[in-house]
Parts: sequence; structure tokens; C-alpha cells
Amino acid sequence: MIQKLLSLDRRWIFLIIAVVVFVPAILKIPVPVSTISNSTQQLYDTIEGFEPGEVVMISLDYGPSSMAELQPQLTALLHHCFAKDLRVIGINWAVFDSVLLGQNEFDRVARLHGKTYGPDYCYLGYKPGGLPNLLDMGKDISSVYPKDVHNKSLTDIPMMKAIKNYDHISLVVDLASVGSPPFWINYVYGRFQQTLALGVTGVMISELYPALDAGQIVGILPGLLGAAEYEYLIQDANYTMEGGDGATGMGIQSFLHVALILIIVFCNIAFFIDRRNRSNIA
Amino acid sequence: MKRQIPIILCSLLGFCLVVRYFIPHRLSQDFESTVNDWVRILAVFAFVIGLGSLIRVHLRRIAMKVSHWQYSIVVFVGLLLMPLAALVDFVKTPNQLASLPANLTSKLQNGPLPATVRQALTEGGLSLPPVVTVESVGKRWKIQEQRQQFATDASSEIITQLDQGKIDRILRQKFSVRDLQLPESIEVTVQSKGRRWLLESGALWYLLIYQNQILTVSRDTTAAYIVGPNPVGSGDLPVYASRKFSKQGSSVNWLFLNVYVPLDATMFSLLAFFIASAAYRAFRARTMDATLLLLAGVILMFANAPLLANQFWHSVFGGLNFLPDAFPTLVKDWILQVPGMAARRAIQIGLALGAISQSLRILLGIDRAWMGE
Amino acid sequence: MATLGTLIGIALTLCVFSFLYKDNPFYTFAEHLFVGLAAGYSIIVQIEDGFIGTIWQRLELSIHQGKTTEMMIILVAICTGLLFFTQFIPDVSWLVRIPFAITIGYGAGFAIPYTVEQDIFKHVYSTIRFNETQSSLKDNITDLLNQGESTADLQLQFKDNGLVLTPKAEIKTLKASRKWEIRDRLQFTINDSQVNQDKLNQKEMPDGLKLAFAKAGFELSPTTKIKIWKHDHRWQITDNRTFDLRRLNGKLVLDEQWVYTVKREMKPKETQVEVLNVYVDFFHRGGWQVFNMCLIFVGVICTLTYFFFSVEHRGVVGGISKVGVIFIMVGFGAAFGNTVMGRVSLLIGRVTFLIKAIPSLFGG
Repeated sequence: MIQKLLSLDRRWIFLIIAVVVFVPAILKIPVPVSTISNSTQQLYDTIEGFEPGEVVMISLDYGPSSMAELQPQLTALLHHCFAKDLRVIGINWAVFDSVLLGQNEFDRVARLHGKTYGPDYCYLGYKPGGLPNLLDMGKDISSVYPKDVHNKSLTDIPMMKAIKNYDHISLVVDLASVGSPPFWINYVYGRFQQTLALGVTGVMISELYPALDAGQIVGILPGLLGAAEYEYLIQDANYTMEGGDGATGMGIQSFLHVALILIIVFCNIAFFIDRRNRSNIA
Repeated sequence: MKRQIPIILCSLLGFCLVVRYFIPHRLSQDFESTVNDWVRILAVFAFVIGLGSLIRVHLRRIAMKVSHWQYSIVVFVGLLLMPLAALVDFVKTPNQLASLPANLTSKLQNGPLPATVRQALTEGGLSLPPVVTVESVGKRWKIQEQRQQFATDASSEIITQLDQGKIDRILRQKFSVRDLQLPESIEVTVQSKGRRWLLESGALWYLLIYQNQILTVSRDTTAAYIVGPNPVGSGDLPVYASRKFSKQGSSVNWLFLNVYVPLDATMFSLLAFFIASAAYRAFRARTMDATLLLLAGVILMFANAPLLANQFWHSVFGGLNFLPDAFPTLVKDWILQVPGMAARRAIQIGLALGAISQSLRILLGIDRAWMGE
Repeated sequence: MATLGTLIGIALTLCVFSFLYKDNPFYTFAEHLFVGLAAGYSIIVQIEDGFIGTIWQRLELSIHQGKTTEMMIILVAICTGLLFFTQFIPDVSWLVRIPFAITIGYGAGFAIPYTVEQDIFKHVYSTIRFNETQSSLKDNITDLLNQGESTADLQLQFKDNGLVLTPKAEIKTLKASRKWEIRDRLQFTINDSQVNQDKLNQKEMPDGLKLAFAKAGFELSPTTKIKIWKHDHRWQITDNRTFDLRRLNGKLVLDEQWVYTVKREMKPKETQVEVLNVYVDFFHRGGWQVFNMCLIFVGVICTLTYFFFSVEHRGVVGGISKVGVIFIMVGFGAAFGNTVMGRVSLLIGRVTFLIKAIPSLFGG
């Protein structure tokens, strides 16, 4: 019996997961976040300390595959920046298939805060090249991006007239699902002492804590939970009334985590009973 | 020769860049910019390699009729679908950017853009360069940044100033008379003394040539818009950006959002199921080490679920006053920031040492795996 | 068209999910379609942003601007890039090694100095920084902070720790994150003539300004960094603290903003202070923090020993590496926990899509 349970067809597990994810998703059970991870709070505090008019650059280094985790982070960050009257530049340094995702979200959130393209924010998109682009932006952004996504020359974008390179940018946030953070840390922080923060997928969180401890970055948003925490912080400060995808996701995620913990506990109990039975027989 | 040349090139470039790090001189910066440009352009061509091998693999599968070769045709369908959509967008009228009120259409004629039209377009959200001209093209009008060019006499002061990398006040005036405002921080590069200069500020630039006592100023066109034709027959005229082969078109966007995004996102979401079945099968406290791994994992999963870390924790352990608020989150932060971080840091230092020795092996020509050897 | 799009989106999502039951033609179709589309999309991007946006526009510009050297560099780069195609011609296929050599030499040349600096020095330093400026605040500070005002008692507490707190400071309690935020602002004005702005623009500290700082009681360190906002006559001076210098009504005004964040740590009665926007780590040196720093030090050394295979793991080394395994296991366990969250989030994304999309087909 125990043996059978331990070697259960994995499709039964799949079915359990499917049920646990669909039921709370349909019932829309809300689970609010009420404690904030340190790394999220640090990023929030950094942005909160900025004066109106300061510039934040957000690099979207993720594709549609990780959109579920990082897009809510982008939304929350944009709400915070626009509500605080900061100016925002969007780029896609490493990944080209998120240009449209980012651009649409920038336009949507900007509209909610009454911000206009050009003076308040702009979107520069993707350019092939990799590392040379990161380094050259330290000298002159327009040498990498002569034009934005709308094919408009950078000199025709009001905010970009005063922003030449990293010297004029207060914070760069890299939202990453690929291996881009080490490049931003080693070359942009290392070479230009640019203040840097990260929003990353769950898989990457742990490996970036050393950089946070060493002061190379000022904060990390940990996956969808980071988005939910950030949404809580900006709603608490009355920066936005819009409920984000992070908070909605937390309800479903909580149930899935409960299911997974129960599965692990259950299979361990079964494992120990089985081991004891075997040693008894032997 | 087939080996020596690439190795020498690789080592030379690599070591020059290492040396550059220690010499913050202008020459070393110029060298770096040159190399950056070079590598950036190579990166564009490098994509051909990946594409080439994909096409080769699937052509071979079709030619050899290996099992499931039919799916390789699907790959080609997908491959052609996107560029085709981009072509359709290119041929089709592009997205409307603004509209011109019907009462102003009569003002459009060949020549400079009338002020009233400019005002209406600017209010509609279109940002136009300072000097633009209108040109009639069939039923449409083309608004284009003018090829700005003018000639003027120049005093010897202006020339000397330019040679010193400065812009004379009088020269500034000559620009502003033509509605061209030079920004304060414009940079002057002397291309050849007493003859040619380049004024640059970001993407804005003017080329100045001095010949036979005359200074010619020129700048090429960049922006262009198309006005009309009227699709409905009456009312406002639509304004479009001039055509460009782009991923921004509506057909490409449609394919991207409705086909590409669901496929990409769903492929990766399957991993949630596999990690669950892996946890069921392999996550067992067999040894002391495995127990530690399991405990840390479960604590993190517990603290990452707000329902458990907040609501459940408060209702069950809320009475334990000696524990601080938000205890699960504190424990999670501690694991990540102290023991977990220490292990990660050691791994990172180890990886960095490995990366450095690997880089040195490449530069010294000891490691030649990159040449396919 | 929108409904058709949603329908296709749902159908493809279900095709991929069908793999969970078993491998089937629907999944294989979706998989191959995706590979093709991804390659097709990259073709558009490379043409638009690469061949046109990067290469052609640059070449065109350098021709128009008459920059012959730049034009030559681009042409040489294009020729080198074309060598990638020699892999299709067997006789000269070795030439493909040249563009590879450049790319790899470039990567290695940049990696060596910055990896040493950022991945090794920086992390070794962070592991052994026991001697940094640290300070502590007394336990009753939380009560003082909860009053929400900058009282004399609170100012005294700060002064004892070498920090300045003015009566005007605003104090906010951030309950969710177990913190108090204190915003305080110091300001002093300097005569314009005392400051040589050209020098500032060259990122050098003018003597007059140094003097003004000294007068106000701020000793600047020699490593002062200056950030320039030329357009609105503003300079940011980063020392141990952050200063903002701007031009207002013909005068240069210096703004010094100190943002302290006071945070309660693991033990209920300990308080930690960190100063935001300021480049010095400043925290409570309670027993807990010292313990953590020691733990990090031990963890890094032991884990490194575990991965050091040049010595046999026996005796003392064996013991140390065994401790290393403990840290590695906790680290990987934590990573697993976070990975679960990440994977689960992706599934949530798709399920939310399905639940929103399916009713919309029926006008819901």
C-alpha cells in the first residue's frame, strides 16, 4: 500500500495541482500581504527618497515566459515612480520579445497618472549588441539608442535633452529572468557606480543576496511575492488605487504552497513508515 | 595560419582591454569605443549563425523524411509567418498618430508647413522638428524634416572659435534666425582645421564646411509623416508615420500577443507541475544533509505564502508574545541573508575564480575550444 | 479579430497543457510552431534594430557627418561580420574563427578586471568588514519614535550616536515593515563667488566649497564623488553623506538630506538604524548582528573549503568542509523554496489568463 503510494503515477500529482490552482482562481479568494521582505522594503525606500524629476531607468530583461512574475513588478514600480513625479526611461537591454509588453504597460500606467510621453517618460526598446551597449550608455545613451521605439530621434524627446548618460540617472532597475544581473552589477555598478536594483524571478532570488549584502544593489523584488509586497506598500501610501496581479496571485499561490508542503510532509511520513516496515522485515 | 591568426587576434584584443582598465586616458577610452562599435556590429551578424543552423537541421529532417518530419514544416510556417506579417504591415497603411481637422486641409500646400497646421498637429500629440516642409504625393501629403542647409559668410573669429571647439555668439544667432536653436551643451569636433567641423548634441548634429569664405551648414533629414488620404470621405485627415519595416505593426502585434505569448508562457508554466512531482518523489529526509535542505525549502515555501505566514501564523501562534511580529518573514530573511547568502557568496567567488582562469587560458591560447578544437 | 485571437490563445494554451497527460501531436505541433515563430520574430527584430537600426543608420550618419574614420571602422566591422558566412563555404570556413576571436577576446578582456574587482574583492571585503562605523540606540527609542515627534530625548539619543536630528524632523511609523522613517533636512547657503563652477563641472572639489563645508562642520573625505546635472545647475556631492548643491536666485544652496530608517530586528528589544541615501553602512552592533557577521564569515570560508579539491578532505579540512555542506544545504533549500514560488507564479499567470479569457468568448 505504502509502496504503491510512494510510486504513484505523477499524473495524479498533476491533477491535484490543477485542482488546487483552479479552485481558488475561480473563487477569487483574496489573501492580502501584510509583512514585507527586507529586500523589497529597501528598494521602496530608495525610490521613496527621490525628489520629483529624478530619473529612473527600467530595463526589461524578460520575455513572455516570465511575464507572470515580472510584469506585476513593472506595474507596481511604474505606479510608484509616476505618483512621485519621477521621470522613467524604459529599455530592453538583453531580451527583444518584451518590447511590446513593456511599451503597452508604460503607456497604460502613465495614462492613469496623467503623464505624457516625452516629458515624463520614454521607451527606447531593444538594440542588439549586449555588453557594448551597457558600456556605451555610460558615455552617451544616444550612441546606443539614436531613436526610441516610435522612431523618434532622442533630441526630439524633451526629457532626454537633459539625460546624457548614467550620470543623470538616479536609479536603474533591472527586471530580469535571464542572466543579465551580473552584467549590470559588474559593469554598470562596478564601472560607473550607478545605483542599481533588481526585480527577479523566484529561481534567481537566492543567488543575488550576496550582491545586496555587498552594497552593489539597493534592493531586490523577489518574484510575484515581491510584486504583491510592492503593491501593498504603494497602496498603503495612497499612490494608486489599482489592485495589482501580485495580490490576486498571492491567494492562489498560498493554496498551492499549502498543497506542496502537505505533499512533501505526506511523502516523508510514508517514506519513514516504509523504511521502518522494511527494517522490521529484515 | 588558420590557427595562429585567430589566437593572436583574440589575445591581442583581450590583453589590450585588460591594460585599458588600468589606464583611464582619453586614448584608451577611444580605443574602447571603437572596439564596442565593432563588437556591436558583429553581434548583429552572429544571429545569422543560429538561424542558419536551425534552418539546416529542419531542412535535413524534411529531406531525410525522419519520423515526425511533418512538424519541421510547422517550424518553417512559423518562421515565415512573422516576417510575412511584418511585410503586410509594411505595405498596409500604418497606425494613425494624429489627425488634422477638416477645416485646415485647405492650408496644406507644397512648401513650408503653415503655423496653424503645425499648432493643430502639435496639440494632437505630434512632436515636429523645427523646420519641416510639405510635399504633395498623389492623394497624400508628406511632411518631412527639411534637409537643413544654409550658407553664410563667416568672420575669422567664428573660424578660430570653432577650431578651439567653441561656438561664437554670432554663429548662434545665425542658427536662431533660421529657427534652429543650438543647445548649450553642443559639442564641437574639429574634423580638419579651418575647413570642417561637426556640432553634436546627442542625436542632433550639424556639419559645417568652410570653403571660399562661405560657411555651409547642413544636416540630413530624419523624421517624416504622411497626411491623408481621407478614408471616410469627410472630416479630419489622419496622420501616419512614414513606412518602416517594423515589429510594431498591427499584424505582427496580433501574432505576437495571441500566438507567441500564450505558447511561450504556457511552455514554462508546465514546470510548476514537474517541480511538484519532483518534490513528491525526491524530496525526502534520507540523511541529515537532506533534512536541512528540506527544512530550509519548507520554511521558505511557508513564508512565501501570505496565507500561511500571516493569517495562519497569527491565528495559531499569535498568542506567543515573546516572538516578534512577522516571525516567519524574519526567519526567511535571515536564512536568505545569513547562511544562504554565505554559501552563495562562496560559490560566487569560486565561479569568479573559474571565470578568470578560463579567460586567461583563452587569452594565452591554452584553451582553444572556441575554435572547435 | 479580437475574439479569434483569444480563441487561438486558449487553444494553444490547452495544446501545451495536454503534454501533462502524455506526449501528443497537439503538443508537438505547438512546440514546433513556437520554435518557428521565435526564429521568425528574431528575424524582424534583427532586420529592424540590427541591420537597419544599428548598422545602416550608423553608416549613413557617418557618411553624412563626414566622419571618415568612423565610417572605415564600421566598414571593417561589416566585413568581419560577413566572415560569419564563410562557415557555409568549406574551403575558407576557418575564417569564421576571426569574428569569433574578436567576440571572445572582447568578452575575456572585459571579464578579467571587472570580475576580480566586483565578484572577488568586493565580496571578500563585505565578508570581513568587522571594523565599519557602527552605532547603537537604546531600547526605549522605539517608544520615543512612536510618539511621532522629534523630542529633546530623541535628539539626545541620536547625538549620543554621533547623528544629527533637528527639531523639524518628521517621523513616520511604517508598521508593516517594522520600521520608522525619519526625514530630516539640513540646509546652508554659500556665496556664489566662493565656488568655482567650472571646477565642479570637471568633477573636482573647489577650495571655496571645501572651506564652506568645513565652516558648517562637515569634514569631506578625499574620496568625494560629484554627480552633475548641468541643465538645472545642480551637483550632487557624495561623501559619507549625500549633499545636493543647486543654484537658486543667484545663490548656491546646499541641501543635505539625511533619511534615517530605524528598524526592529529579530529580537524584540533590539533596534537597528540605517541611513538611506547615504553611503555608509550604519547599524546596531548588538550581539545578534555580530553573530550574523561571524556566521557569514564562517559560512563563506567553510563553503569555499568544500569546493577546494586540491587538498584531500580529511582531518581538519574534512571537518571544515562538512560545516560547509550545512551552509550549502541551507542555501540550496532556500533556493528550492524560491524556485517553487517562481514556477508556481508562472502557472498562476496562465490559469488567470484562461479564467479571464474563456468567459470573454461568450461575452462575459
